[in-house]
Amino acid sequence: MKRIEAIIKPFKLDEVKNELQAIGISGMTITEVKGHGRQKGHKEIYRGAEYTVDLIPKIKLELVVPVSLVERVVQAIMKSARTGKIGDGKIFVMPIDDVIRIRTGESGDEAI
Amino acid sequence: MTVNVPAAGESACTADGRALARALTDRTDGTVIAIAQGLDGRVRLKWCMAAVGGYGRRELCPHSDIDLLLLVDRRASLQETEKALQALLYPLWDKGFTVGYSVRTVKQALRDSRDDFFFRTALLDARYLCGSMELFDGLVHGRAKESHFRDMRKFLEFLEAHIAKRHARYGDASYILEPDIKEGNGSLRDYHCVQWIFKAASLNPKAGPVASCLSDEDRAEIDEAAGNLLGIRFLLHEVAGRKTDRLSFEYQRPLAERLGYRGNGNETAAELLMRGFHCAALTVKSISGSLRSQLAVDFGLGKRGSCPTGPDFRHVNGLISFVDPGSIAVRPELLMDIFVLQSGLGGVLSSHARNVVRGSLDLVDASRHTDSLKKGFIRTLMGRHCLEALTAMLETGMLERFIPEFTTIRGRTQVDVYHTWTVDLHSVRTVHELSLLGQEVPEIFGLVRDRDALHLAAFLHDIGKGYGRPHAVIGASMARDMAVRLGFTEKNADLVAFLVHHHLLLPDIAYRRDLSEEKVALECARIARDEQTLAMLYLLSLADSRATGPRAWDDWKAMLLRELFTKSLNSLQRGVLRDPNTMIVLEERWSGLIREVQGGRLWVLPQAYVIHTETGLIKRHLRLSSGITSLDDISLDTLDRGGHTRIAVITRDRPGLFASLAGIFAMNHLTIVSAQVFTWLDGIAVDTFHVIPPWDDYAHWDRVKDHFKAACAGKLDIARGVAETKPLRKESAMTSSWQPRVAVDNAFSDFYTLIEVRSPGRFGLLYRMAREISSLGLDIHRAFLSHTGDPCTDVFYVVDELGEKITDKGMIAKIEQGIVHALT
Repeated sequence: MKRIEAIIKPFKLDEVKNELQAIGISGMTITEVKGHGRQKGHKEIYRGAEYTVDLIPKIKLELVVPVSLVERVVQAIMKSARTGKIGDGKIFVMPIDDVIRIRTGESGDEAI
Repeated sequence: MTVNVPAAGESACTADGRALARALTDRTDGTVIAIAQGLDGRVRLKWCMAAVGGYGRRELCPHSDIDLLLLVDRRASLQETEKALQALLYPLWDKGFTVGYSVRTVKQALRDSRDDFFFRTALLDARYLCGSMELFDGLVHGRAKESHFRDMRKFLEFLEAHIAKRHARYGDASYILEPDIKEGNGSLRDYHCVQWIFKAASLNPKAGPVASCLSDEDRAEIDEAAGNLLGIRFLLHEVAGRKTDRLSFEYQRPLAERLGYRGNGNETAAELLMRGFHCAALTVKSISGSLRSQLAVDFGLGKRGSCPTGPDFRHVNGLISFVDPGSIAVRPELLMDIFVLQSGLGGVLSSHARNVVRGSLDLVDASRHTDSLKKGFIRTLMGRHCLEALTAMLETGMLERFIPEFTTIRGRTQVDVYHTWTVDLHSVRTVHELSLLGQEVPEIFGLVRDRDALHLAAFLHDIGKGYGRPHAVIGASMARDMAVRLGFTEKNADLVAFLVHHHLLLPDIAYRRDLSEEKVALECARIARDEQTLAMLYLLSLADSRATGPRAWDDWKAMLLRELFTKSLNSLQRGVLRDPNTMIVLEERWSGLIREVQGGRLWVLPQAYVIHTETGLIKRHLRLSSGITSLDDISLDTLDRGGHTRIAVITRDRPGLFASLAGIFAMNHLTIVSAQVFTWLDGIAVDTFHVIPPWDDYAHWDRVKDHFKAACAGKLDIARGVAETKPLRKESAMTSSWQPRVAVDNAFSDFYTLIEVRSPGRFGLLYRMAREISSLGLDIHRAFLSHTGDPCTDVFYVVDELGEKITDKGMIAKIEQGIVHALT
């Protein structure tokens, strides 16, 4: 099992969700986050005054999938979240020891 | 006092909560008494079992706690007491009851009730079950003697403090979508408070005429409403299978079916249940609230002092009333003026004033509003305390009387993860948020002249809910009619309709579109048309979101919305749309294009291109561009304009394209007079040049084309070509002595860095300049060149290879020096 964490642009959420649903992934955790990587925020000019926006709104997506699906999930996110411009985000893949469904006590792939 | 009943045609389905709870209480009494009576042979002490709290009031629901008070004789030993308690509790636990209990002597009970307000109210509800009647009588008589029970003023003070805390924590049950039946404002607890007040008052004959503060009709109504709430709570325990008092979404449907509600085309069974619930809660809230505010005045609690109000009203200790209710018959506008007063000064309507308003609604003719009524309503919308005033209007029925369209959204539930309140209160709260925004962001409010239109739009933005989708479109035409009826000019009525129609525009764009694209901000600005309307839409979105609930609004969403607003506003104030005439031209061109161009390729056209290109030409460019697929495809469109030639080059955009074209023109002795460079959204470059050919009947356009194809194939070195081409005429010494000036501007556009170059006109200059810009890794997205005067002024819109503006100071210096160097 792997945990896939993706940081994407907010307006791409619907596309990414649809793409993931298309390959049969429906369970995920979505969080509104703020941060920056190479895209170092921007300056807003409003009525002559400049405001610096350091942290940019992003969406964090987390999901746990069987190893066999990792490649497809990563491809699906890349395909749907890409604009080609700076700030498209990143995908992190990390190992998971175990998953347990609290209600039933099932574990491993069954609990995903 | 009559609280609005569900809309016509719906029958309220209710359960008689009191009968259900009483039956359960009686059964429980049987069990408890049977167990308690077993004590008699087993323990040697005098005892009495009393039911307190909800059990004392005979209001048990299936999973309520059984609250017991075991009164014992003051001589009882600890061991005997313990024995008695065990003999009582174990069997009750075994039967699955959740028991709350205490063991006290009469004296202890009275003493403890002095410090513990909840215990004091529990004692007010005490009911004899079994055991020594003497002990129970001791409690009842002691109660009547204790000053803390008798002092009404203190009692009310404590009560108000607890109520305020409870309401703050649980919110307003009469509007919240997932209300707490027991603790919210308008819940059963508020009904209990009324009962406690009367019980406490009955202990002291000198307390004054407390009971007469509530009319018989009000009394009957609050009893009935509380009975309905109790019925819902009773069945909620059954449906949920556990103790829960929050009427959350998951239980609303099963509960509604249980109560026999049937959904209709417009509302589901659950929505009808909730409408009925909210009405009952509103009755409890209004009647208990009026009673308490009346008592607060009678007993001198709360805010002291009066406000200046004019001859028709009194505003004393925060309570507003009519001086002469009789005059309403001849001056019905007083019915509105009292809310105008409340909206301006705050405070609450006295219970008498509320009843007067309710009883006089017939005097308000919804079809023929007088000017003073209209003006009064708008002033109420604009007041600082509009939340209190509009809520009072809502709860007295004045709002529906004045605006009958409001009936549909009255008490209407909206089931989604975002909304906290029913549609009616959400609308009122939106107006309230708007008045708060007036203080928080005065600079944005400064852009708004027609504030009454904005406030009315906020009030009516959801008026279309309940008539199908999309509610904004349906609501817009309703809102327009209402605005006209309220005396708005045609123009401002259109504005109100526009705002209602587009109240979701900004959030829709901000959360779903790429805000780093200029097209997005321009589209938003174009729909809004001007600064005032854009600011209104923004303020409306903010107020609407904030009035929706905590899940609809946070700092994260605020940032996105603000970015969209700022960028759109900038394009109206400083950018491509700043000239109002531009907007008119743009609208005409777009409507022409939409009418005349089939095939759906219009989306590729950037606004700036449409502004600067005539419709006929746009259509021509669209046609010519259809054959352009590979990089060396090029289409040249020339037109002799007498003296100079207009030439449009259409090809795929690529880095350095503009420099190559400038170089090829220079090699062919074509002097560029002006140029406009655009990149379409599908990557097609449309560069229009005005050039002066070397001689009048110049016709070597194919050579230009060949050069371009050769350059694409890598067979032509443009730099060398330009260097080896000699100018046909000698350049004047005067102009060539000019020092070029370069300025980099990041303030003009939110999307591009502008490079402005003023330079002497010299052969090949444009080529060198463009090549320098390209070699710095910048992408020329748009350019406006004018080489007719001296100096020449050129403006390039550039971004770096990642599509970002150039903000690095070192890079900006490099650009400036690089271009100056290339030109000298």
